[in-house]
Amino acid sequence: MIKTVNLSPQDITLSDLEVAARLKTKLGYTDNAVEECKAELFKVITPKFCYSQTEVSIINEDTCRFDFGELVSRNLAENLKNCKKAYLLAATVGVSTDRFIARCLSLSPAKGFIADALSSAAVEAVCDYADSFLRGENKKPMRFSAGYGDLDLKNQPIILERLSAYKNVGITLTKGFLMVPQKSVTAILGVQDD
Amino acid sequence: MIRELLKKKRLFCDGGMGSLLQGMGLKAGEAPEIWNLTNPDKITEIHKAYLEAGADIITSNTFGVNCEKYENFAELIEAGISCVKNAINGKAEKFAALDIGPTGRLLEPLGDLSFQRAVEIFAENVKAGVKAGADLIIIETMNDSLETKAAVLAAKENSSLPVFVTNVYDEGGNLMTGADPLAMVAMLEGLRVDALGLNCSLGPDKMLPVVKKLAEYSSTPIIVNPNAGLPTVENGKTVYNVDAESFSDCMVEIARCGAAVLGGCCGTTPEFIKRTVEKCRDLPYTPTESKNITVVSSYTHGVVIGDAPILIGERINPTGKSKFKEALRQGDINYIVNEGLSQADTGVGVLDINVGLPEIDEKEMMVKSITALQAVCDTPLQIDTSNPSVMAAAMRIYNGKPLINSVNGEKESMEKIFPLVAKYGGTVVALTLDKSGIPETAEGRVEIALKIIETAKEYGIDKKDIVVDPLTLTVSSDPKSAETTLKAVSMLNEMGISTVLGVSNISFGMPKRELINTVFFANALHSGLKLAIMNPFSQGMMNTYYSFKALNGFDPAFGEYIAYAEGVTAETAQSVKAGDLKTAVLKGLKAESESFAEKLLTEISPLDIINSHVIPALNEIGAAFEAKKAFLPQLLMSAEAAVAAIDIAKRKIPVNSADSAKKVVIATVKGDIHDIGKNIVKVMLESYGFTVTDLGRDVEPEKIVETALKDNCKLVGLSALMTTTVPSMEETVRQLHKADPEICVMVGGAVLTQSYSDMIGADKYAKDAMAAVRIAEEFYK
Repeated sequence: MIKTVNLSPQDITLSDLEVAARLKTKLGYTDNAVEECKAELFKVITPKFCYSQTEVSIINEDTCRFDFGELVSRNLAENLKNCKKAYLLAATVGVSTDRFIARCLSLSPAKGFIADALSSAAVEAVCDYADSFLRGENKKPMRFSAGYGDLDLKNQPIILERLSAYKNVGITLTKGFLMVPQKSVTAILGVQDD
Repeated sequence: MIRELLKKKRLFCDGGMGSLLQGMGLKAGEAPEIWNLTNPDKITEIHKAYLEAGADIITSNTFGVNCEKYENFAELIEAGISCVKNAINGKAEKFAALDIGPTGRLLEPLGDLSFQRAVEIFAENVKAGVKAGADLIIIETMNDSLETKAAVLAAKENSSLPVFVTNVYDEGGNLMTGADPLAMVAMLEGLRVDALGLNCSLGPDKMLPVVKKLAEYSSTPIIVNPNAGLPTVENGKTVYNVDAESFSDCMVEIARCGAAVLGGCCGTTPEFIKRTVEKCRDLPYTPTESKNITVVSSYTHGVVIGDAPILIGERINPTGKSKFKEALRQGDINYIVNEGLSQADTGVGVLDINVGLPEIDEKEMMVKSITALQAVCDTPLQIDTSNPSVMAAAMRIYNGKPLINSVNGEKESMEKIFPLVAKYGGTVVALTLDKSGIPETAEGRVEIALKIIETAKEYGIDKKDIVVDPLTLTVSSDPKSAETTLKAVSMLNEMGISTVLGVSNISFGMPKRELINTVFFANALHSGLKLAIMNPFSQGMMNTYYSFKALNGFDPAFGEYIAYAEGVTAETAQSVKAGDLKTAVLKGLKAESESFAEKLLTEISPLDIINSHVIPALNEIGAAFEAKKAFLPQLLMSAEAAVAAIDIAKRKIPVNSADSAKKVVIATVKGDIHDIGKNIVKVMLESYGFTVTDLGRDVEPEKIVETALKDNCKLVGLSALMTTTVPSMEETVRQLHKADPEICVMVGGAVLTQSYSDMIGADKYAKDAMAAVRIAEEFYK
């Protein structure tokens, strides 16, 4: 069973740490341009996510088996070693955000850079929201995405198909396995045994 | 035949397939379309159940089939249609529909599927469906307007079958990529589909608002196939929360709103259709009426012509603009996009786009410009070209229903333009001139307009899709010209025909043109002008426009006028701010930097402005950045403010005298589509006075070599973000050194390090944008 959650922009809060990291500034830095861009961004984002639960079994040190098939990755197997269940998550801030970033970039590279950085922080905020929604306080182990460590980006189609992510939240893939909308994330969220 | 039937009665579609198949043993994750070959009897059985429930249109089980997913796509489609035809078994007035779903990919430039490739993919399905004997084509569950257009074109170009289209709207009433109901009606009616509407995603009750909007605008029969509400889980099984009884009750209301074709989507079963047919079959049926709405649209919204006057921004046009011409020669699409975005911000309803220049490939430039503009700017476009093949290429890829500029009363003109309008859709500007020239009287011009409208009918183009330009001729050559034009506007307006004028032509050859233009504009608006092609940066014209609307009931609470007036006041206040150029650049204030540079230009030499004000500011912010006391956003904004000030100063510097020798070619390497970092380097280099040729992203090594050699540029900057594209960077470095050993290649990007850079044979490694500037300064010392 796949569930979709549509959020309103007000539901998410950008993390200061994430914003500083993406803008390459010190923590807490802001200025007019950043604040204006943030306000504009929050008018265009359409944050949403879909998820489903899956059984997990670790077949061997580099293979995990899920309801939908197997993924080969030593790092993922390590990440999920104490989990019998996990959530599969696909989150996005929508294609309107891609248009917004491109628009900012056309007008000013500085604004484009800021818009891109804030949008990245925005989709992370959607993931944080989803994580709290799904795992509550116990957000361990850390969310794991295709492209982390040795979990190949080529696994992206299996994850997106399992979640019907195109139909549910509008995420598509390019031939090179990059997601469009650009500011989208898929992740596996292990659920630790009590 | 189905087209004729729709004039007489309501028709019914079938419902969902997936959950029924799961009940018959289809496993989760198994593709339903495979069953066309492995279990055709079961598929046929479901089709039969829908026929028995009263459905008239049975859709083939081919939603997920396309040639990119399946090598045997044609076989799957033929088998799918066979199942439908076997179920129908020759019964009268029952139809086999070829079902076409989305590709699941996004079109360029947001995604990586080209429009042409999308058309080709859909065309393969259409050909297979036609061969298998489908009676009509249903294009369904489309999330994106541009992909919908690709599918409709494929259907029209490869068959003569009726085409029904249903899109997916969200609860806010828009497609995933933004289009509202009016935008979809405009585009799909332009493409001459036979029915249009919505399916999937929502239950019938949630669809009502969209259905009502479609009914308000559409002259084409409306088709509505809702889900059985929202999915929930009961005992481990997916079920939907609206039952057949309440579903069919809602469908009655939808039918009463004017829907002509009713059916179901996910979660609906033959029971849902049976009850819907029972309750709706005998409701009174009125064939869809023609709505007399003149509209153009973009990928988000439609603009209705004929009520409040609408402005068409004229600035995307090289005539008389040397900077624009240079941008076209350089292929600088961003320049064109900026012209569009800045005009869009002024509140124009439509943007004219003209990129014709004798020495460039106009068709390529037009297609590239429209593609780039419609990725970021949601103002509908007026395609402006005198070349019919450029017009055809532009109309094909346009994401909406454009204004077409233009056709005239000459037979050849109409023979070339009208077939394009009939195929791709559009509202066309008719110029009142013909072989004998422009009539001197208003009556003569109206006569040509009527002739054009009459001829358009032969092509199936309705009067509502034509706006007339009775032509503005300069008053300096004929004192009566304004009077004639205004009279023609009045006459046409009284006949219910919308008019458009290139307003500022009136003052050609006169001094202080804006004075004449504004008065003429006011008169034209008063005569009933509906569209004005003009410069939205002319304050006089904008004053006239907003005042006219406020005075004539087009701005009831004066909201637009007040917002405009406040904007004018703010601008005046801003221009008198105190301070100096260096501080403005340091603070990254672009507008202020420009005005200070303007002011300084009256006092000191342009080179002094750059060397004593701009460069010291840049050095200061650059040093702060290197000491981690300032950050990238600040550095970039200062750089942009610097570039703006330098541009002002440069106007007074003779061309080629300054730093044009300090050239840098930059690119993101083949295979990599990230260009934020490269763009930052570009701005920084430009702010320090380097002439940068930016080749963009995903650039072939050969193109980089060719450009460096052609420009005789010895400094090349390459960017790569992903480890997977470093080999491509290495190959580019190798080719550059081979072509000219003197070329210095600097590299940068998230994954690069000094040792990586050494390994791939680059000459310099730039850890950030400031470092790139230092390298370039050192190189040209």
